[in-house]
Amino acid sequence: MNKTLMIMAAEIRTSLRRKSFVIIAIVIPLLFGLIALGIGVINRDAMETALVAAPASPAATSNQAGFVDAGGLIQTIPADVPAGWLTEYNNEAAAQAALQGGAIAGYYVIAPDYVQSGRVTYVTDEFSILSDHLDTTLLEQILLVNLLGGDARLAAAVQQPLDVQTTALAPVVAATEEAWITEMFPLFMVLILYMALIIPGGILISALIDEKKNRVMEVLMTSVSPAQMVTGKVAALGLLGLLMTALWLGVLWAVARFGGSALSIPAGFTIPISLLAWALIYFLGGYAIYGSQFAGIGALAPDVNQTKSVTWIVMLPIIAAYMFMAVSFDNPNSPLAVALSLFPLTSSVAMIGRMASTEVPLWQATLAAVLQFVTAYFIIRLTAQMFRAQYLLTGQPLSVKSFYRTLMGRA
Amino acid sequence: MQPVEVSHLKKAFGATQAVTDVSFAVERGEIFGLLGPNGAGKTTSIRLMLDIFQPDAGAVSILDGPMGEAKKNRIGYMPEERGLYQEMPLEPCLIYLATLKGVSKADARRRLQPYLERFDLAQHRAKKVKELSKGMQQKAQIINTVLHGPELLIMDEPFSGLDPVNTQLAKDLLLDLRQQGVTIIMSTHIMHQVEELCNRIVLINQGRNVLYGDLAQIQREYSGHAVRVKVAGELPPLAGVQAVTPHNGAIQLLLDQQTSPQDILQQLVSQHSAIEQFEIALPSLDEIFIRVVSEQ
Repeated sequence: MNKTLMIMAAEIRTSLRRKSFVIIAIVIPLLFGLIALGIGVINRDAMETALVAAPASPAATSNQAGFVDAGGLIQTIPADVPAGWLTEYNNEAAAQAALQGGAIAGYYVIAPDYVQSGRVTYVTDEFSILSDHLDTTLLEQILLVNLLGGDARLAAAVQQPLDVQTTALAPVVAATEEAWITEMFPLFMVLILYMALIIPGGILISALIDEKKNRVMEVLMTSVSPAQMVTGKVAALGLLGLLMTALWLGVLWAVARFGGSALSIPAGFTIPISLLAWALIYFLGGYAIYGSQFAGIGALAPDVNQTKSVTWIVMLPIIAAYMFMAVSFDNPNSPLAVALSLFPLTSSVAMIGRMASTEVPLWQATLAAVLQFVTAYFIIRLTAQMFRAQYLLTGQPLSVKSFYRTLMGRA
Repeated sequence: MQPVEVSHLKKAFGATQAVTDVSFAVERGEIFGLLGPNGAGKTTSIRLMLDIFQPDAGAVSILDGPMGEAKKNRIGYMPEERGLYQEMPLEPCLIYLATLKGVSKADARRRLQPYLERFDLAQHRAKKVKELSKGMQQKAQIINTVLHGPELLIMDEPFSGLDPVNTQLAKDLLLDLRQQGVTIIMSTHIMHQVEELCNRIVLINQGRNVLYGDLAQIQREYSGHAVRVKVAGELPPLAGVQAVTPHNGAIQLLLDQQTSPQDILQQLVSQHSAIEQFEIALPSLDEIFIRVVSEQ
């Protein structure tokens, strides 16, 4: 096997032995994914059961309930209430019998003074923490119609006074409903890219410094070339970062796809595969830019403590992009948002945040990617001179100044 | 062509001149001593030989030509400080480092077993390197250096941290390898080990050669006009002796310029002394080392 591939494989094995990396990159996203999938499956099964079950079915679903109108308020049942989903009983004894007979999952008792007190009691045969989320939508609708004298149209207007239609000149990528996922989605995308760039970079720095400290570097230098060694390490952590990004994006996609109403995800909400593909492209470009600089820091620094200030300065553009994300989310086509999404040092985070918020013209998305890869090419060329045995084996103090002097070939 | 030829090497790091003028050649199948006080330029010279650093001037020929990536698999290098992955278990660590030297995984595993047994590390193969004692790590480092079957070994302080039993194990290994034709360069401060193992040496001080050549010849050059004698009973009075000093249970006699060792031997025989030891007093390498470095 090629020595670069050997180093790459060894670095992957070593990184996968790091508990912190495995937890953040693999365990947490898989756990979230499984939870989302589980909730989705349970939710879908419940829906299917409810739709298939006949009203006479001995085992009632949570959709089948009864009510006892002690105050005589309800005169009209709106036509759109599905038959058998809310059955009226003349008294509590009859409702209780139906409950015990399995015809209904529970029943409401509307208090005689409901108009003054608003009191409604729900009776069920047993309490379960899993079924404590009671869907009262139908009863609310029936009460509202009857409070408004049986006028179903007026009730509908009271329930939803606004019917705003949003018209976009360009096709809308994601659902525009005011759901949490719609609001949080761009932030999630940005966070995933941010983590995927930072975490492997940190591991890369500490892996190089560890090898310098325990003198393995000197042994490696007599087995492989500095270029083979650094290429193997950077590629290994890039691959792990890509895996991490793909896993987190996959989880986000699974939540959107299978979470359904159980996670309050609007029916029309989908994550376009093209967006996920762009995220992977921007990760690769961003990692090439930042990963090579992190590798340079690891090559120059004698210990981890001396890397902090330099790492912070190197990361500054990406931190700035993250901080300005609020502007991008509010107005994704503002000049600042567009500039950040095209500037190569910020585009990996800023462009994906923008793309998750709005439709970005293809030429801008492509230009950002091209600029990223061109910048990465030059940064890799500049950082390559840091991977000399002289730097890898000597322990000169590292400062921001010395880092940039070496980067510019003036050390 | 000799397997290692180093000619007028020069290397500076900024304002520090690490190596000023170092030259030597190592013959095939010999154990060669690379000696010098701390900071003399030994490690830099080794790194220049291995092409880890580029010299400012001078030339290096390793295994019949300039050093290159392909030759790295034919060389075993052991740095002074241990160079093993502390968090890895011993066996996978040694196998991985051997594969980087061009040995297949299966072959590395097969070669490793006898070495682990020879150095009494077989039962520790699954332990993390950091869990091994200093001596065990040193033995593991020696195994790492020889596991891929190199033609040229360069070892910096190979016996550091080893007890006498393990030191002997390591020496026996080096002698076996020399027997098999492996060329060995050994850098150390422990002079009696050099005297025991090395045929030839170079002594570097302040980045320059100060002594170079055959060890016995160097000792002869630095010997004074003296003999060491041990006789049963009292030493009889001897003519031509300027000074008498005890030396490791024997007596060292400093002779005047007109008296030869043969004259002294003749006097002892004629006086019927029971001679237990009689030898030309050669200075130890320690003495030569101190003398040369002090003069510098």
